Order: sequence, then C-alpha cells, then structure tokens
Amino acid sequence: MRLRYSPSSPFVRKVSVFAIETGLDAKIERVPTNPMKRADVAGSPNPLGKVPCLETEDGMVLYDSPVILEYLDTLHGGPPLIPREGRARWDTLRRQALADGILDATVLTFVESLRQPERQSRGYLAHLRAAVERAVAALGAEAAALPDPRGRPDVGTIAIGCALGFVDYHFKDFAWRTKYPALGAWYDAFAQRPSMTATVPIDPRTVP
Amino acid sequence: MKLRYTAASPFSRKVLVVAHECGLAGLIEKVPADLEHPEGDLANDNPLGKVPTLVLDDGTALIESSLICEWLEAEGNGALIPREAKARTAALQLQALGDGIGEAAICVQRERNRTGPQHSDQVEARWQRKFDRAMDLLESDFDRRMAGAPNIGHVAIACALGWVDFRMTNMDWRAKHPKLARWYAEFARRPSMAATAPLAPKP
Repeated sequence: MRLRYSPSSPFVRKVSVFAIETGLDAKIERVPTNPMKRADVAGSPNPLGKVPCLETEDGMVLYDSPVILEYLDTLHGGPPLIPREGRARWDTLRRQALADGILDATVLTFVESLRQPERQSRGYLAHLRAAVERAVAALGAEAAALPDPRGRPDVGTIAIGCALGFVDYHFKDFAWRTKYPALGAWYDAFAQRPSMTATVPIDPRTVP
Repeated sequence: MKLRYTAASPFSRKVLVVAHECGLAGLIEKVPADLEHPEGDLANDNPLGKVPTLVLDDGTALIESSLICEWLEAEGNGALIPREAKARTAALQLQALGDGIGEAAICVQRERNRTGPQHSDQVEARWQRKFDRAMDLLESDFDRRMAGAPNIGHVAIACALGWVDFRMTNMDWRAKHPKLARWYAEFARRPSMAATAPLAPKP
C-alpha cells in the first residue's frame, strides 16, 4: 500500500497512529505530498489533492481518513478498532466525527491565517474558534466516559487524541486543560502512547 | 428523531435522500438551523454548529452526513451502502469524492462571496481546480464508477451537482461532462431527489 501524506496533517496522523497500533505500519509505503503545492496536487491520485490518500494493493484509491481507517480495519488480525455494529460502533464513529470537526475548524483557521492580514476575515475566524471551543467543551463533558487512554484505542479515541494535540499546537491561548481537567488528564496519558509520540506533526510552515 | 438541516445544504439533502430511499423520511422531524447564529440553538445539538445533525429519540446526536447516512441505512435496512466489503469500500469512496465535489463548489462560492480586500483570486482558483479535476475524473472513468445499482456515492454526487445548479452561476459543468450531465438528468428524477430539491427562497 502507498500512503500520500504530509508530516503536518492531523488527518494523516490518524492513519499513522492507527497503522502503528494495528501493526500495519510496515506494510505502508509513504509518499510525501504537500496539499498546498500545485505540482504535488496535480500528481496525486486524489483529484481533490487532499491527504491522507491511500493506494491499495488491488488498485483502489481511498480518501478521506474515515474511509481509509475503515478499510485498514479489515486488514489486521486483532480486534477491530471500529466496532462492527451496535451502540459501540455509533459511539466510536460519533466521537471520530466530533474530533474530525475540531480538526476541520482548526485547519481552516490555519489556512485563513496564511492570508495577508488585510485579507483575513475576523468574523470567520471568530466563528471557527467558537466551534472549536464548544466541541472541546463537549469532549470535556464526555471525558469520564472515554475508554481508558492506556488500553486498546479505537478510531474515536485516536481521532480525539489527534484533535487535542492539534488544538494544543494551533490555539496556544486556549487553556482547555484548566477548564476540563479530566479531559486534560485523559489526553496527557493518551499522548504517551508510542504511536502518538512517533507521529507528532511538524509545523505546516516548515513542510518542504 | 430530529434532523437539523438547511434547505440548501447538499449534505443535508444527502441525508434526506437516504431517508427517503430507505423509508424513514416519515419518522424525521425537520428543524431548520441558522448556521450564522448557532449559539443557544444548533450548538446545543451539535457543538460544531454544522448541519446535518440527527438527534435520535434517546437524545444521541449524530454529526457528519456520512455517519448519519450509515446509521439511517442500518436502521432502515437500506440498499445504498453495499454489504460486501469491496463494493462497500468503493461506494464509501465514491461518497467521499461526491462530498469533496460539493465542498469544493461551496468553497469556490464562499470565496466569490468574499468581496473587496478579503477576496483572493488564488484561493478561488485553487478550489475551482479541485472541482474541475474531480469532475474530469468522474467523466473519464464514468463507466466504472457510475454504472450499476445506485449507491451512497451516486447520491452524494447528485446532491453536490444539485447544489451547483441551485447556488452558482458561471459553473457550466455540463458542457465538458456530457456523460455526467445525462446521468444527473436521469438521477434527479428519482422521487427521493424530487422530494428534496432545494427551492429558491421567497422574494
């Protein structure tokens, strides 16, 4: 398999963490692709130019990250990281969707911040920031119900871990740990997993 | 159950089409949402302030159209997401492409709506290229991707194109994509599509 990736993408990180946790890591060849570079986008099998994008052994081209993770979950021999049915499945996927929404809003904030100051929309930035703060508050309210951060992860907890790491990096003035200490403790334990420490994203401004 | 939606959103429409296709539309109470002012209303159902959001009868709120569609399919024993692994992956992949086309079109329009110094031709062109490349891929690979029984990917593509027709001018996708244009004209006649078509706002 070939994974189109950027070392700064939190959505790529979800796939990388998943691959390490399930032992699929060694089967994935990684091809750097900068979604902000026109030539890289033109050469990508994903017409939308986004990463992560996975090319499978049997010729499928998969994106976005939830589609990739669902596919990868069929390839390893361990217990699924996306429960196959029932309440556990919907809880896991709901958490992934909430975390992905935090990532979307944070990525959009970063992309907006790349514009020259006079071209930025303060109203849009405030709208995105409010969405991130409310969504992290929702995670804070759910912290006690989250699976053990030291136990086997699922795609919900992997996405939450990647989302909180990204929020930490891009909203340094958002003191969410103070407001939601149980969530902070959960994340600090989750972030110690070898799959997380091995995949810390680099600053997007330094991607070659 | 309660669906927070906006009439124009292609992702809201996708959920409604799936609900019609799997016979659950009658069980859904549709509650419009104000995306500009989510505080105290939509944000109570979805902290991200986005539509569609489906609030189940037990209070669980499902967000993201792909997740809501999968839940509806499971609940209604629908036929839009195949059970067999390979076909299922292909359908979900096509949905991601359709959703991406809708997102690209929305981002083109959002940039057009930014006027004065906040507008960027480069940003608009970048999203336009994504839209064009995705549409070109569908047109050139039409037989492999678009043939066969309708699946969730087809619904996503049809809702994205419906949004383009409804909201955008100067986006004449039909001329360069004749196979897609013929397919869309046919698909848009499905009762689920006709019942969910966005209406022009009252003057």
